Amino acid sequence: MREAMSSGVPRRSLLAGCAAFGALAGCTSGGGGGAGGGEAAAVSAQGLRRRAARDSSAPLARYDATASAHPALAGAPTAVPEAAGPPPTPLHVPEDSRAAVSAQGLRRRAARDSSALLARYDATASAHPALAGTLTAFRETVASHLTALSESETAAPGAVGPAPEAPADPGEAVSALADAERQTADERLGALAGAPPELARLLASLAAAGAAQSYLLSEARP
Amino acid sequence: MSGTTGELDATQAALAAEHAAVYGYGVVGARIGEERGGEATEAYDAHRARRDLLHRTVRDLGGTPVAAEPAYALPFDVGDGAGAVELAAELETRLAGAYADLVPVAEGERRREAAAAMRDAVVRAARWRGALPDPFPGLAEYGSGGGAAE
Repeated sequence: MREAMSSGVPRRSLLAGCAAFGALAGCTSGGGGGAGGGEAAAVSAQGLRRRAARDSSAPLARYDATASAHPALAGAPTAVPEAAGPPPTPLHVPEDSRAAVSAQGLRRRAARDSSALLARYDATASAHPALAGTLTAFRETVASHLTALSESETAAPGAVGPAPEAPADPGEAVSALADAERQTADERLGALAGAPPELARLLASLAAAGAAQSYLLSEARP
Repeated sequence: MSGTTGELDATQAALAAEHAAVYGYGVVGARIGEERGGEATEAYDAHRARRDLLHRTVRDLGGTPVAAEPAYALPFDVGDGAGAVELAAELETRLAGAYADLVPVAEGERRREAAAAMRDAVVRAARWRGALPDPFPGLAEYGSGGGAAE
């Protein structure tokens, strides 16, 4: 059943609630990782694990000191590994926290890709003003994709670097745009298998739109 | 590999949409004229293949595949070639919505197939219309009514 995305109530507010109870409580959500609660849950799980590892090394050191001071006890059978041995088994990091962090990364990467596409459109329109009118609708679609990928993110997509220079020939410039759209769409199709459900659905729509834009650009090539 | 009830339902809905598309492209082919007749045939064949794949998928999920209707009510009076093109675009748009519903509830290879089918539907719709009217095809909450029929 498709759930409508109600504005103003991002999915991530569920994860924020879980973080307040502690990540090890095993908060389950319907997916939709991203910034905010998901990140807080992941960071706090990591912090708990690190602290637990530190906590284990203290008792180990105490065992060694005791065995040194009382050799008669040293031979007593013990299941405790040597302090120099392998580290204590890490506490299990909840699957949801890992998944939330990787979904966040996927979303941010998608936003960066849309940002790069947008920069490419702008560079092309600058280099070829006669194409600007034709490219406007395509550019606006990419801009709306970027907005959808960026909303609820606490950080901006991030610097993409300078836009690639548009080819001097207008036909090649449009082909370059078509190629970029298609490549981005193909990457998204490949990535969505590992995404949480709502992000997968969004990426599928963006990939479909991008593939259509690629086709239409090729048809519009001067 | 068993899926969820949600996946089975969404797969059946996509199959139903493909049944409708196969029927609809029959009408398209009859009215569209020579210039774009080849495209209509290609789409018709592609949708039969998708229909057959979904039929198998429903069975794999343990369901009884929904059957095609003997006839479907067309969304509008098709008339001539222009109407046929519009019908083709509408069929693809509805399919995109059905596949958009399937993507989130499928996993692995079935999700990949659903996303690829969605892309194909959106690209075909753009070919028929000569434009991409909706920046978020298949997602009703973004407006423009690209979602599957209720």
